[in-house]
Amino acid sequence: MYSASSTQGADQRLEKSLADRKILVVDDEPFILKSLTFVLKKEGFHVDSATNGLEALEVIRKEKPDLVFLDIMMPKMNGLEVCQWIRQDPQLQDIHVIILTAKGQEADREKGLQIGADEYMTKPFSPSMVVKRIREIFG
Amino acid sequence: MGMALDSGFPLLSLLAALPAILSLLFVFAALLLLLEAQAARFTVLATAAVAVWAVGYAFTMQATGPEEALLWIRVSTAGLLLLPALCYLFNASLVQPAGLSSPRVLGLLALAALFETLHWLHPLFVQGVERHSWGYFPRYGLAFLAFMAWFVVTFWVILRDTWRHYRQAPKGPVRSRDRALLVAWFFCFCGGWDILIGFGVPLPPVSYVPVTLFLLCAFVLLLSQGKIEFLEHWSLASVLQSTSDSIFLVHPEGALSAVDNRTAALLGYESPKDLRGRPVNELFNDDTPLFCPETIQRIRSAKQPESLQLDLKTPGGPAVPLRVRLSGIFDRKGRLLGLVAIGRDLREEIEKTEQIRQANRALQEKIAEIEERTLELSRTNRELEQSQAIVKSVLSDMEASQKKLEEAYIRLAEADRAKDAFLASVSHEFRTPLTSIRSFSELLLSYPDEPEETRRDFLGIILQESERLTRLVNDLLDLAKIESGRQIWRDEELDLAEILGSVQQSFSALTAGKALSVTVRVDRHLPRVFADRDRMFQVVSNLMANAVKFTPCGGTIELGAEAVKIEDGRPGSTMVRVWVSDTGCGIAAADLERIFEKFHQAGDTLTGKPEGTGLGLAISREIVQHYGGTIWAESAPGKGSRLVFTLPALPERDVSEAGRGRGRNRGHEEATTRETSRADKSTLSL
Repeated sequence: MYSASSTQGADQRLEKSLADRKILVVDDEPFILKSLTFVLKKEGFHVDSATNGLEALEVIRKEKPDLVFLDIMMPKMNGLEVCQWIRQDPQLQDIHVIILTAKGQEADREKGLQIGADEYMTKPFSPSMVVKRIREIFG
Repeated sequence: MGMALDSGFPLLSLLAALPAILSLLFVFAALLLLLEAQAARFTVLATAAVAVWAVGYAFTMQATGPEEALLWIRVSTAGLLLLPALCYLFNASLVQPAGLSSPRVLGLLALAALFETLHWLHPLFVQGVERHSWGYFPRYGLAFLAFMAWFVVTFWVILRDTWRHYRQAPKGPVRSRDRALLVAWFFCFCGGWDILIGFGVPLPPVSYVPVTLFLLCAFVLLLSQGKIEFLEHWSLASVLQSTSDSIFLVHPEGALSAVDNRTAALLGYESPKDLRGRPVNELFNDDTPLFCPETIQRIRSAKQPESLQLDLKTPGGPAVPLRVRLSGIFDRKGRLLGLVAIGRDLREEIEKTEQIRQANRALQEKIAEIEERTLELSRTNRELEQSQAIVKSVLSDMEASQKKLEEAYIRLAEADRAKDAFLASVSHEFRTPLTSIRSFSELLLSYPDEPEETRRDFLGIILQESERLTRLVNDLLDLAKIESGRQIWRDEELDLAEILGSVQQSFSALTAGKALSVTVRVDRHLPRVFADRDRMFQVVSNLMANAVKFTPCGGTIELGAEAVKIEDGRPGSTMVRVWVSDTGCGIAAADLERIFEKFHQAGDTLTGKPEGTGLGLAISREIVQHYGGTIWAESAPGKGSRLVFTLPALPERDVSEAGRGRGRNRGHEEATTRETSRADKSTLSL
């Protein structure tokens, strides 16, 4: 049984439709961006993209997405640094960070999670799995 | 004298009997001395004289009257006492062997005898003068003068001598003798006085008592003299008995006078007396005589002792070696009285010497042994040192080896790290296109109702990424093969101008698309190179691709080749230099070396993600270095770039010899396969 407030919160959350969910995809590979953006848009999310770390931060501050996909190997600022920035900023604490990278070593995974990422996924990935995961995250 | 015995006074008769008593005492003393001294001939004589005297006295007492008896006794005594004095005077050898002479005693006794004689003769003289009227004064006077002379001379000389001797003599029998002698002289003087009175010299009278007392002193004298002689004789006897050396007393004629007891025993005799009188040379070996004329002569003349080595003949045994010291005994006149030979037994000495010699020999042997050992030791020592040196060198070798091992390990570790880094890069490079392929394939299947355009788009991407993957795989394989040395090089004579031309042509579409102007500039007489055609094409293509990629539209690209002489001392070393220059964005100074590394991609470019694999320049470098050339970049940001490589040129004569065949068949024949492992550079093991 939910309390009226929680129900209200849940309702509020449900009210926040999928279209209101903002997802940011950051990767320097255009095809990755393309595939991810396509599938997420297909699922009804609002999708932004960035091709390097600095750009990503700009977009985060401006758009305040709910979820961010970060690639690590990027010019100007890599994904781990971006993650750190996000975690250090009190305003950005609610953002769910998923690292999506070709670096598949256990050490890299640990490092990513230690930096503050919520999840760590490796490429190649399955778009449908990604979507499923997003649905889980957003309730 | 001349007193009648039948006098009324007993004292007078006692006095008359005194000489008789004294003579008895003489007998006793003489006997005593005879027993003790054993060899004092003088004592024997004295005893004989006294005995004769006593017997004569007794006999004459019986035969004639006492007066006549007394006269006979006194005459005989005087005569017998005179005899030794005469002996002394003529230095007869009768007394000498004993080694003792007592001139003072003899002198005294001679004088006494004379006094007695004259004393007795005095009345006879008187009577004779009266009875026979001899011519009183001349004979009487002559005798008197003779007597006086004798008296004065002898008395003075002997007295003086005795006094001197008495002063010097130590306490003992000698001193007491001399004392008695002096006293006797005094009484002798009295006797002489009496005689003078008898001769008519007007002197006060002296009584008969001093004469008697003189006889008493003579007795004491005899005793002490005997004692002295005994002591002297006894000393010699004790020496001869106890000495450990051999002592020989030899007559001047060569007869043995005395010998010590030990030597006598050695020679097999019971007592030394048995040897007395033997010629002394008989005792020694024939070749070592003791008594030989030359030695004696030397002793006589030099009066120095001689040292000899003699061998004593022992019965039933080896000869005993003696070291003998021979010296002569001389009287006051320097005449040889006898010889004394003292010999030391050398047997022990010889034995000891022999022992020492043996010990010495043993010592020498030991020393030789020790020397040998020392030599051995030093030899061993040298060997040890050598071994040590060897060990040291081995150790240093080991250290060097260890260092090499450490270095190799470091290199291995580095290589390992490089390998890991490479694998990480490679996996990343693979995953990226794979991701696209997978994602878009899945999307195509998940969303079948997408428009045709989208579908075509996705498929195109899939194809493109597949091709990218293929290129990546091929490049990696190429690189691996070249690095591991498994690449097959089909070398042939090449004209690089041709290659440049081919590359220009193959890129014509791309360059046209970007409106890039491309020129080829080649030296007129460009030397040929000996290399694999395809690989050369690959290298130039790589450089060209980079130039095209990084030059913006409207830029210029130049391909060139020229001959270059290398001045490094090697005769006729010519290289061919090939370059590709562009007017592109340039390369930062820091990247000029790094662009040739694997997977280096200039990411911050104008056109975004590049299409290359990042291995092109690495492969090019491997190929160029395989042929012994170098590759480098000349550039500055914003000022374009020029990538250059050199290859060894073929010398002119090789060109003519090798001909101009360029077919692949020819290349096959000349194929060189390099199987040498270059593991230190290889990061993949295929």
